[in-house]
Amino acid sequence: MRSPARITTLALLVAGAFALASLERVVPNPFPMVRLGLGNIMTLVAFVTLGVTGGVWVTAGRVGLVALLWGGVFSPTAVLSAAGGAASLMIMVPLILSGRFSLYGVSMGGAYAHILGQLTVAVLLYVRSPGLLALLPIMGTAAIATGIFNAYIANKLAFRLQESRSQNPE
Amino acid sequence: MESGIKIKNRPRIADGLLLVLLIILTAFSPRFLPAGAVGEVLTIRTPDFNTEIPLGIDGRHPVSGPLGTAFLVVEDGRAHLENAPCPLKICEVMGPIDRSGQVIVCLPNRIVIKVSGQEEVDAVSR
Repeated sequence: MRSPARITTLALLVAGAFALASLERVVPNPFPMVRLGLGNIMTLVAFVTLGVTGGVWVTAGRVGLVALLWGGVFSPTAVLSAAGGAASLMIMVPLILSGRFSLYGVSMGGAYAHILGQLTVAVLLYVRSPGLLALLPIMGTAAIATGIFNAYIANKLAFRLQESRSQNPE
Repeated sequence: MESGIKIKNRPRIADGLLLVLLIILTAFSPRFLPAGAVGEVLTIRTPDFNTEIPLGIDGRHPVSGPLGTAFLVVEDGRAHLENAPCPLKICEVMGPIDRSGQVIVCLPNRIVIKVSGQEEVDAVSR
């Protein structure tokens, strides 16, 4: 269904994801090799409030906008960002549809799939050597931690959104 | 408005199982890596040129890509990158490397540095 409320919520979540992803690139990070993946918070919220298609749109929108603004559509950064986004959706959608996971599992699975997708595409397209997988211990640990953190935030946000919606029914 | 997905806001058993699985995968991932013998040669690939330098001779070599110049430092038979111009500096933490198959990669700056062992060099020269 394409109700105005749905479109508006979707647009807000895409804008939020884009803002968070951009913020992460601008703010100095003491651990530069680790990304928080804050943009995924909005995808998680979209899963809860809009359903699976909403989450897919938020991730796709974020990847597209980030590629346009930061470094060109076919730059390695954009290609890897798209690979990570696609891989994380391929895991998050089945996890959420299974009905057995909370946002914590969905978020961890998505974060981990994101780095696996990125590393795989980087090895196949750019590096042509599996030595790059040496990054897996540090990136995997970070993915688990950031996945849990993002799920915590997304839980709070989604709960608030649903609360305010039940107070202001259409 | 089309409703979303009803989902518990507390962790569930499946989440815990997934967490354990991911921790195991992360902890054992170094085992799947090519852990060769100590290498002899560094193969450097940039957009402008490909070259090889010996790992046995200490030195500080400028390596340039579209973002700027980083320095490949070879010290005591090991190599790492310094002064990388890329935003994330993943390439700096990938070093030092000295075993064949190990790589230092800077994707934003399109630089790939790989260690090769003596055997491969012999195979080529024979």
